[in-house]
Amino acid sequence: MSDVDDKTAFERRLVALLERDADTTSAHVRSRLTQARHAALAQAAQRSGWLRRGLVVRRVWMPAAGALVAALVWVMLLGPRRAAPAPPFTANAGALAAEDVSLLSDRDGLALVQDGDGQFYEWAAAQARLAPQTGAEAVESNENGG
Amino acid sequence: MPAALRGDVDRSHSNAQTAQHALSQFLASVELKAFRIAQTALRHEDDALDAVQDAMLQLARAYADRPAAEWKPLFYRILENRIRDVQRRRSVRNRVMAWLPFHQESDEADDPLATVQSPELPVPQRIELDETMAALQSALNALPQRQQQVFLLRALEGLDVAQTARAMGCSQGSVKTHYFRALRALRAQLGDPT
Repeated sequence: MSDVDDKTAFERRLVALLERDADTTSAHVRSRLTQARHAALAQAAQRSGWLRRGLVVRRVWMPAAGALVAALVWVMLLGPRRAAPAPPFTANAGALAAEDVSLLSDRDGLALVQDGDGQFYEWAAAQARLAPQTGAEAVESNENGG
Repeated sequence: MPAALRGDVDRSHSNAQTAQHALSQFLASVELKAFRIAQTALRHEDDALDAVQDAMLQLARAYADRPAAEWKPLFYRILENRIRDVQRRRSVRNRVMAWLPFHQESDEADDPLATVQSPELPVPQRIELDETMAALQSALNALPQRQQQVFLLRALEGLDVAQTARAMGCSQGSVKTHYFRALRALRAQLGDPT
C-alpha cells in the first residue's frame, strides 16, 4: 500500500490532476462555498458566545442562587420559632376581673387597715356600703363583721 | 463583574477567537476538495454544495471545541453521512417520481456565475485539463462508492489510512483493500505506462 509520501508516478499524476481541477473550480461554486463557510463560522461564534455567557452565569449567578437557597433553608429549618398569638383581650376579661376582685378581697389588706391610714379605709368602706353591693363586697363586709 | 471573573471571560473570549480563526482556516483548506469529493459521489453540483455546507455547519455546531487535529476525519465523516443521506433521498424520490405521469426535471434559472471559469489557465491548457479530467471523472464514476470515497480521501485530501478509516467508519484493512482496488481499476481505465 502506497502512503502519501511514497506514491507511484501514476498516483502522483492523478493527485496533481485532481488538485489542478479543484483549483479551477468555477466562481459560482467558490462563492457558494465561501457563504457556507461564513455561515458555519457564524454558528460557531454564536455557540461560543452562549458558552461565555454560560461561564458568567456559572461564576456569578449560581453562587448567588446557592446562597439564597441556603438562607431560605436556614430560615425554614433553624430560624426562631414564631410565638403563639396572644388570645384576644375579651376572652380573658372575665378572668382578669375575678383576679382583681380576689386582690381586693385579700386578707393581707387587713394589715394595711390595722397599721394606719384607717380613716381612709373606713371612708372607703362607708362609700361601698352606700352603693349597691357586689358579690365580692358583700363577702368582704360579712368577713369584716358588717 | 469581579476582576478574576472578567479575566476568565476575557481568556475565554480570546480562546474563542483563536479557535474561530483556526476553524476558518480549516474550512477554507478543505472546502474545494470536499466539494470535489461530494460532486464525484453525487454527480450534481447543487447537491454537492448542500452536502458540503451541511457538513461545515455540523462541524461548527457540534465539534468546533474539539482539537483541530480531529477536525479533518470528523468533517469527512459528516460529509460521508450527508452524501449517503442525499443518495438515499434521491433513491426514494426517483422511485416515487417514476410513478408520476408528468415527471419533469426542474428548470432552475441559470446563474451567470455558474458559467464563469477560473481565469488562471489559458484556453488550450484548460481544454486539455477538461478532457483529462473528464476521463478521470468517468473512471472515478465507474468505481464502487466505497472505493471512490477511499481513493479521493487518500489521494486528493491526503488523509492517512487511520484517518480515512475514521472518516469512512470502517477498518484500516478495509481502507487498504478499497484503495488498492480503486487504483487497479483506474490504472486499467486510464492506462498507466509506468
